[in-house]
Amino acid sequence: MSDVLSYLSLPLTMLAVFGIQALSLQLILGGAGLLSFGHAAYFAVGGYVAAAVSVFALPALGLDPSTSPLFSLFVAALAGLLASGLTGFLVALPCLRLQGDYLAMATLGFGEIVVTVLKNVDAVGGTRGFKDIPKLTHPLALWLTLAAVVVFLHRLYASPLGFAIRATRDDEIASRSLGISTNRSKVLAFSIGTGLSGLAGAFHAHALQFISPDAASFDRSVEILLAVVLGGMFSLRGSLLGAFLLVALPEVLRFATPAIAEKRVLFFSLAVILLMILNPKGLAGLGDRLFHGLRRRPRNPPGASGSTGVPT
Amino acid sequence: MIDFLQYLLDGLATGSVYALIAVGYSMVFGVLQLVNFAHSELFMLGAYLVMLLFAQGAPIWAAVLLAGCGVGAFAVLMEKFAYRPLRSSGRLAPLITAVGISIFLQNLVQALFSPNPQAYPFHLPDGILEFGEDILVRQRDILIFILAVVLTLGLEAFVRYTKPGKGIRAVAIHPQAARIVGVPYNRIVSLTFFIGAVMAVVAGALQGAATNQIWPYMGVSSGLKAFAAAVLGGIGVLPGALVGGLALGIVESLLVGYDLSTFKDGAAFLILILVLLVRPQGLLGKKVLVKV
Amino acid sequence: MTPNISTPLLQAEKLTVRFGGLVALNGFNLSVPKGGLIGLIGPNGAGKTTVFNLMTGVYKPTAGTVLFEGESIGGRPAHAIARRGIARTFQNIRLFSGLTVRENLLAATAYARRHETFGTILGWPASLARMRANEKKVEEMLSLVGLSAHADAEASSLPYGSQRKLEIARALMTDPSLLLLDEPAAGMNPTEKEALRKLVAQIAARGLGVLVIEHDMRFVMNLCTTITVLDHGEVICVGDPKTVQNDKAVIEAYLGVEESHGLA
Repeated sequence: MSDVLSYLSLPLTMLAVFGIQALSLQLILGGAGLLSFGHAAYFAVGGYVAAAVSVFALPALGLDPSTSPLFSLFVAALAGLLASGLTGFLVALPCLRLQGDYLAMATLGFGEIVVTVLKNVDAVGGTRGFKDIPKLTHPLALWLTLAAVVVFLHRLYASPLGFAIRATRDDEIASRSLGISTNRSKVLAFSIGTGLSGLAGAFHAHALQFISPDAASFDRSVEILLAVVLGGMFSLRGSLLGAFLLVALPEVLRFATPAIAEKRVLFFSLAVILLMILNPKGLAGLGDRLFHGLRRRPRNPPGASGSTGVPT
Repeated sequence: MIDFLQYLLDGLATGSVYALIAVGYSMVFGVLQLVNFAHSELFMLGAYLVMLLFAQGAPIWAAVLLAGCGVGAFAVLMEKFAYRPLRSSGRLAPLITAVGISIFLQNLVQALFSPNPQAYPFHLPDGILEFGEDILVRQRDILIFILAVVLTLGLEAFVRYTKPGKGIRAVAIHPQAARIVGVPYNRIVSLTFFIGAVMAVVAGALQGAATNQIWPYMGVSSGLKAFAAAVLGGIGVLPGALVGGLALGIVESLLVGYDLSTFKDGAAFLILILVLLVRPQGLLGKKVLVKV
Repeated sequence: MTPNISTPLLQAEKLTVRFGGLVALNGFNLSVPKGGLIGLIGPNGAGKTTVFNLMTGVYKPTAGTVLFEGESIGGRPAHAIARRGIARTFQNIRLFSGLTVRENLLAATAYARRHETFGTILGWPASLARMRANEKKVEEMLSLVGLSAHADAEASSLPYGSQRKLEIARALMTDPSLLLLDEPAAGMNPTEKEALRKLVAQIAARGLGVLVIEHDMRFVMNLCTTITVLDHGEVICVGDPKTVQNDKAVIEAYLGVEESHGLA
């Protein structure tokens, strides 16, 4: 029994970490309709800042993280959340003026810049990565945080700000005609999403006791993007399902056929291509459709209905 | 000063490869307003296909020609079956599909060949020319540079003066109006993808020949930088792709030359972001009135 | 500044806009009083929607002024103008396609209820109570326009006529003092049009100013008290429905497009 638990402990931790990470991208992608190709960058910023807090800042203040792990974790995670949220805010402020595809490129570019910077800061390990981070992540605290994030996002969507964010996603001109500041909606959605991503990064760093510039790479960004799209970017359930696929599928496949586990990204990408063409709402959307019978659903994802109408 | 000139010349070859890839991004974006993320994988596929054909004993010109047609056909099919059904689905869906295709192709080539770099069987003349006292230029760099300039300007002439070329411009300027006056819209889109793919194949073969190695992820970094180059020069403007590509190649070469090579990869994106913010239409682009 | 009774709700003076070399609107004057029902007609491409876009901040005027309740709003950002009290519908319907019918109306109250965001997320009872009151207003609006039965349907699944009604309801949810309707009756059958005419008259009777662009002449003539006719970006006639119907310039402007629209 304890063998099973110890074997499952790491995947369960990863599941919750990537659950938070997937939810944070869901807000930006499905909620606000903003395409971010650099989402891993904020995960890394949160992880590095949180690790710097527990490795450097707290001991400097005379507090040993090992004697009060929960409090230290709280402070470090909060710092990670705020730092990545602020970073997201600073990126969003100028970049969100850009139209869809350009925004994607700017977020991608920023992600690569974060990798470059992290590689060049020797205090946090440079290219070798940040080592010897105290193991502070408690599974229960992590899973409770995941639950809190779900409740938070659920309520956010039901709040006036949540409606402003979704309205902005569907039609910016109509949103502005109702007094909604679309820039504010987008910047807030992006900042909150990047902040939550940093929270995931903070837990990750304090679970594995290690984080490297690779955590910010384009590959990581794409992996989480594919997972969220695959699970269903328009619902919280869908993105959690995506995180589950990302973590659990390789674990299961490793038992079955190691050859397939190695090629998981190949299958993920193929599934995403087919899914986008057949049903952009993702696996969760597909499930809904089977569940509700053949209720008619619009084909178009309410991503970027955009500016196609030209009034005369 | 001599150093500076030397680094500048060193950057020309890399920049020329960026430019040839950038042309494809630029043209596709021009007609469909789509960043065809998978374009960088056409560059990678081209490098591999040329290698295979050359290894089979085809002369290099035939290998490039055949690979160009093969990858071009693949690009046309990709547009037809993956992007066309999503034209009315907003901008998010095709962009995500493009990323999916890109990742799929990287992993497919990795599964078929190997994740490791492979030596390239074809080489360009590697003689060295001396200018003045201290400036050395490789023959192959000059060759690559000339090829990039000729191909890009030739393509510019093609879209300016030939009938299919004018069709491409018409679709880029106003798709509906082009359709109404009888421009075969879908065929023009296919042609655009085909031409972009051929350019990418040439770039892939040149990259392989110049650096003597190719690998499944070679498209990722070169492709992203080529896109940055296209935006830098002005997306949708072909000479812009050339200018942007060369500028980026030179900046990278200068960074490496002055011992700042760790910042090389970040630089392209820093430039990209700054350009997007300060001059979104790029260096040679014209400002477009956004329609409401 | 407090507008006195005689100040019109909206006053456009010498409004001009050029796009490149094209003059889309030239020296346009218009006045909408409180409770007024003003029609804006003209052939396709005359510049009617441009007028709306100028008044709601989608475009900036090249010259001229727009006064709303005595305050200049020309060139201000769209969301600021909307907050000032001008709401509109769109010729090409612009509903939030990812939201349900009810959620489309809730989205319209997002700005007015912005202070409830924290309370809603933290679950403060006072905030939740105010949000429930807000939802009740939404239900009332749904029943006013006859869409209660479809409250949970996705907005984009509604038939065309109902989508237009939903857009009007959404605009009204912002509690505007001026409502701009861009071809509200398009795509409706005669029964629906009559119901719409009554609804719009009812709205104006509450003291709102209403400006209507419409191609259905019977609809406009029966609804509006004053009509402004635009052609090629210029006002060619202003007056009550009778005057406009018998005006020579108006008839000439419509000749040739008569078949498609039918001057009633």
